[in-house]
Amino acid sequence: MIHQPRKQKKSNGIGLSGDDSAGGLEMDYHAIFDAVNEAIFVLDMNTGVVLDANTKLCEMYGYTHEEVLKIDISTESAGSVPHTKEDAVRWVEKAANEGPQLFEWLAKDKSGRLFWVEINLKIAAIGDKRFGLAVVRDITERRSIEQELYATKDYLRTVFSKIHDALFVFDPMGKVIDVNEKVLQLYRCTREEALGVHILHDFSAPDPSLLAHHQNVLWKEVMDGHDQLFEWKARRPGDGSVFDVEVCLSKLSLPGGDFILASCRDITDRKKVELELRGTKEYLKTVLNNIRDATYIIDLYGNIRDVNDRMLEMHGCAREEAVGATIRDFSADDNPFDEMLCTNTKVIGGEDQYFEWKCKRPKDGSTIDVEVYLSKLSLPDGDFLLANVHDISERKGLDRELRTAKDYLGTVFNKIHDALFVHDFTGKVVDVNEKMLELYRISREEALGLYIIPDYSSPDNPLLDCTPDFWQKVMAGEDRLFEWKARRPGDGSTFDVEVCLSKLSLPQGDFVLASCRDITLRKGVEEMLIKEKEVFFSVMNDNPHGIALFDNSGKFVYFNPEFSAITGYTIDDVPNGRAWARKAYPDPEYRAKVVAFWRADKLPGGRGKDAEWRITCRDGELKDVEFRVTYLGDKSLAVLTDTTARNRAEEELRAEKQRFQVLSENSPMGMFMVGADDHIQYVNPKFKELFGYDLEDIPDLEHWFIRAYPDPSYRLQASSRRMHDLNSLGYGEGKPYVKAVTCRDGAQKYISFIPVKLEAGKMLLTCEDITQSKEAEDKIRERNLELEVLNDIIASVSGSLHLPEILETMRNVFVEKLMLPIGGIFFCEEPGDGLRMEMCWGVPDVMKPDFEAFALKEYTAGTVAWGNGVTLVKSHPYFWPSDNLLVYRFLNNWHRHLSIPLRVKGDIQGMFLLVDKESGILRDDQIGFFKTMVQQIGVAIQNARLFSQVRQSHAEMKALSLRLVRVQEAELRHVARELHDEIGQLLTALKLALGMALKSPGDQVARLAEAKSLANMLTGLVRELSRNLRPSMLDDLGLLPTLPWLFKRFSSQTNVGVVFEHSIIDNKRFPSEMETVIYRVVQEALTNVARHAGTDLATVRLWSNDRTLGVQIEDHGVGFDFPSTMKRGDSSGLNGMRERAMLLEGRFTVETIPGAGTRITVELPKDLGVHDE
Amino acid sequence: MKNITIILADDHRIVRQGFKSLLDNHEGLSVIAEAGDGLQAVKDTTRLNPDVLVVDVMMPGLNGLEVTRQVSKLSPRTKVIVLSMYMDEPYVIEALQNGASGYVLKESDMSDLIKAIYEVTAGRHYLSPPLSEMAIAVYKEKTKGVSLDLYDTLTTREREVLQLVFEGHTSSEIAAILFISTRTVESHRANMMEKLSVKSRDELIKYALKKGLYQKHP
Repeated sequence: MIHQPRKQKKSNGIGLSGDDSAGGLEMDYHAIFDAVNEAIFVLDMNTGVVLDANTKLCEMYGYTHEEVLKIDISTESAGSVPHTKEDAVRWVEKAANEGPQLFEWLAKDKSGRLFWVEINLKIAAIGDKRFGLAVVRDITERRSIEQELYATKDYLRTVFSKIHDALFVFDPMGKVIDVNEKVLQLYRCTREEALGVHILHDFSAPDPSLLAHHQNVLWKEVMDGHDQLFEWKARRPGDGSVFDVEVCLSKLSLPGGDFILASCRDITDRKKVELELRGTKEYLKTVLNNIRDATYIIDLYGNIRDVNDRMLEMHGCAREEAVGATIRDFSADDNPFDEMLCTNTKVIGGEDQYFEWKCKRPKDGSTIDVEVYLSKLSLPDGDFLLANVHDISERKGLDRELRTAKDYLGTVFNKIHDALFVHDFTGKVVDVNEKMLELYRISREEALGLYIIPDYSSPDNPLLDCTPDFWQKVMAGEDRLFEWKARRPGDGSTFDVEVCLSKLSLPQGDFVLASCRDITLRKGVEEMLIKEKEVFFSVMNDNPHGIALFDNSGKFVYFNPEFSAITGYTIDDVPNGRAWARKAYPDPEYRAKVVAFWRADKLPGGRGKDAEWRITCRDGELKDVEFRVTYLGDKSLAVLTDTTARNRAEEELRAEKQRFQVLSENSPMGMFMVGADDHIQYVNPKFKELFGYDLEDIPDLEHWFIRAYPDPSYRLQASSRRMHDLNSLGYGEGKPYVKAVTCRDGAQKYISFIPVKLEAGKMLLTCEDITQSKEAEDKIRERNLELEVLNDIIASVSGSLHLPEILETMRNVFVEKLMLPIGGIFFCEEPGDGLRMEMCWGVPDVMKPDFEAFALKEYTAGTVAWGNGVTLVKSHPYFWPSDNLLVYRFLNNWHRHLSIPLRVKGDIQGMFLLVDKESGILRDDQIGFFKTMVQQIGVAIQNARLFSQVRQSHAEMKALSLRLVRVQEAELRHVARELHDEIGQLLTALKLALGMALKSPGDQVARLAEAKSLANMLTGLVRELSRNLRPSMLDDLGLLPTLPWLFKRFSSQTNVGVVFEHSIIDNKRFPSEMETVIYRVVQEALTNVARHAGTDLATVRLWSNDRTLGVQIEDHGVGFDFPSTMKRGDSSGLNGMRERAMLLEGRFTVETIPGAGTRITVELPKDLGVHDE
Repeated sequence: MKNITIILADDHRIVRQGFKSLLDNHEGLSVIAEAGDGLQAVKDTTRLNPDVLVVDVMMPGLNGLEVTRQVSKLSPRTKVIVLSMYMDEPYVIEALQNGASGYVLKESDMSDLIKAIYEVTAGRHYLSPPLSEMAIAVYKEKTKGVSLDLYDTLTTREREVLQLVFEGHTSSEIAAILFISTRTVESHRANMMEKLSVKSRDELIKYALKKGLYQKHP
């Protein structure tokens, strides 16, 4: 404020002027002076002493008028530079020299308070005196506002400069008006360089399209009051380097107009962290997506929050469909949802749950069987359920595959009869069985690839309509059975086989399965039977009796010449019983009687009733014929004797009684007459000739019986017969019977007696010696028996493959047909092994051990195994000692016994021991028969044993696949648990760590380090898991590098050293399944060494030649008792090795002796034939 | 100084990208191609002849070891660095034998790879710690195994049969002596001859003589 100098009048109390005359005016002036609103004081120009002051000033300074006049300017001032008295004097001088001065001053009042005033100082001249006139205004208030403003500005400036963000102020044209220090730092430029340049052209990474957009759109938005936040690529004008910033644009209204404030934050670090986090997340996601299980993260309401790729794959849906849906959308409707609630509660309580579930594909509604591992997943935003879902339909598929494989084996083995070929349409052989190799004497390698027709068949076979057309029929499902001449490709020898062709459907396609049975033996037997038959017929041809053989339908099969001689009929005249009856019995009434008789007589087997009929011969002659019929099951044998002549003679005798004597004397038959008193009244010369007895020898029947029948029981039979005749026969009647009569010289003759009852109780008997024909008849019976026995055996051979059934048939044949009450059958397990008793009969239980011991001691190592075979012992060479009297009697009371070895293809397979107590069938001339019979039995038993072996191996195969499935299951469970327990937990932890890192940027580095260490642990775990499952090294590098690696690991874990010897050059590789078997066997065997052998050293040998790859694990530890270990069943390790080797058709050998170590050898064939496909 | 050209081969895109950004940010190194499988890696390397091929062991199709083998033939000037999760020596040996110059563990520091690149381009070998060529040599020596005496692989039965054949017995005599069937003897004999790789009885006798078997009953 500039105050115009006013004329100052002399004030009261101040000797301003000595002009008293102006006193009145002065008074007025003073009043004005005091009343002025401004504080005024008057200073001495030179001393600064206050000369006068007005009331206002006094108020301001708190002094009274009097006090004011006593003080000088220094008292009124702050006193500190630049507000000292000297300063004040200087101001006054300045005012004097330069005119009025306006300045601010820090004043001090009476109480010592400092306050700001504005002083207007000018020099006033009153008369010649000059005074400093100071108008003082209190400016404390203004000053404090000003100061506040200053402070604010500083503060803002500081903030502007120091703020963490780089700030640009630019005008709407983009020209930079102001920047803060952070800009200079961040953009590496000076303020001078920064100001005035264009924000977009100079500070941004050049992208013209974006720039235009910015200028035209974004800035306009900002100007309209909408702040903009975006990320931006910034550029340093100096070196052109580019970096990421986050920019916030806002409008800045300044007095100079509207501007834009750009606040830029360097986000390079953040970007980097983000990138790294994103990388880790990707990695985890990849891990999660690559695990085999489908994974769901589900909230407590059943809504799906997240899933992995596997889940999408499994359900065939997109991630968008899955996330946000409920778990019900992905489950089959028939799942137990109620239980699921309960399950979920348990999981939230911390109990992990494991159950099977049915998933659904929402697209087509199809379902999948799965296993679910449900566990709790605690995330920052609450608790969730983590469901690891494992698709088990694959496992089911695997089941099916195994079953198919089993079916294949089943098909092949079930169809086994004997030698098996599998060949294709061209006849090329693709597979054969062991039996075939044996039969054709060929090795598997040679056998495969040959052709069935030129190589395996004799060229003189009938050319069936063989080859493809014929096989085509087989393919259509028609099995073919025929006989064939087979040929051994090796030596060209041929033999008879019976071939059965059937279709074999394999996964590789359809094949023909040819099952060939060696029938050389059967052919031999057939030939023998034919020979026997010839003998039989020749016997019948030479028979003095008529013989007719007819079958069950009544058709005649054979008449012997005598038959035709008696009846005149040939087989052409009377082809069957009906024709015979019509011709032989023309009288219908008589015929009916005859037919009725035979109908009643019909038996299933054995001897029928004898009968005599009058037949009409072909030439019309009537003849009395005796019929004796034997029923043989499917055939019957009728023996005819023409009794016409005899009957006629009797008639004649009766008619011409007187001529009897003459006739009888000359009779070709023996005759004798018995009186009613049993005295023998007459014998004719022929009688004497026959028996050698004269009347003196046999005066009566008593003597006759004693002499003729020395055996008492036989005699009793004969005498009762006589009584019967005596009572039953009418006069003149007679009925022939046959008796074995002992003659005078001791010889026995079969005599046909015909007693005729005469008047007065007399009886005339004629005697005919039929010894010869009787013996022939017996022979026939015996042959019939033999045929029957062989027939039974052949029936059982072809009828059954079950050993017990066959043995039962044998036993029945021996006991019932051959009357051999005691016997035993002995087998050996393997050719060359010792025999053991398979069954016996007729032996009391308590004696069985003795019986077996006896048989084995007597007949195994010596007679049967190495001797010539059949041994018939007629009586004991020495007595078998026993303390037990019963046993002693049992073993030493045999009539005869016979041992027959059972040979199959030259090897002793077993032995029969047959004991005869009395039947007398064990005769020297019967040994051939028994040999033949046992041969047949041998074939049957061999077949049965093969069959049972096949069944057993089938069962083993089944057990094996079951075990495989179990092992696999256990392995999967282990992996699942490992994944869940170890890896799942770590993944959760990792996720948490990353979540924390994202949330708290402060200790991001520490969190990330933690996450990294978790990721490292995960890597280690996954690597160890996969290594334990199956070292990928085996696949990548092969056996030779992997085995030493295994040994090193093994040795460091167990302190058992391994010496490795091998003969493999250049790390040769083998088929993966062979390498796996070798690796696993070594692993298992070494584990056994470490566990059981009690040694600290093992040797592993690996070798390979043209045909095999072999490995051997040997230790010199404690060994074990192999059979008892296998029996105890605690040998799953050994079984596992054996099965692995067997699957590749390898050989597995364990050699061990308790105390002497163990050696396990596995040899695998290099070509696996058809299994390679 | 001229840039070192590099091809990256790894079937995991993420891993590949990680390495690429690491290498690209490093002055003097430039990644000129990336391959996602072994075949592609061989093709690219043969075509572009880079200074260095960085290849992962585990890859579909052709694995890293096989890629190394082929590349060292087809593009001899390219140095191969094998990246691997495995610290197991057999992998290192296989990699070096196949012509790799470096073997870098995936779990070691990123800077390890860069170090390896400079080392191999300078013509030296590089193995990530704790691996060392010295340790590898020791391992190789320790595990190489000794050569096999085929006689040791015979089972006791086969040795018995060998002795008896040597003493001039026929199969059926041997069968009687050992109380086994002739066929079993024949099978032991065939196995034994196959193991010893001898084709005839004469050769077998020669072998037995050389082996120092003696005839108990001449």
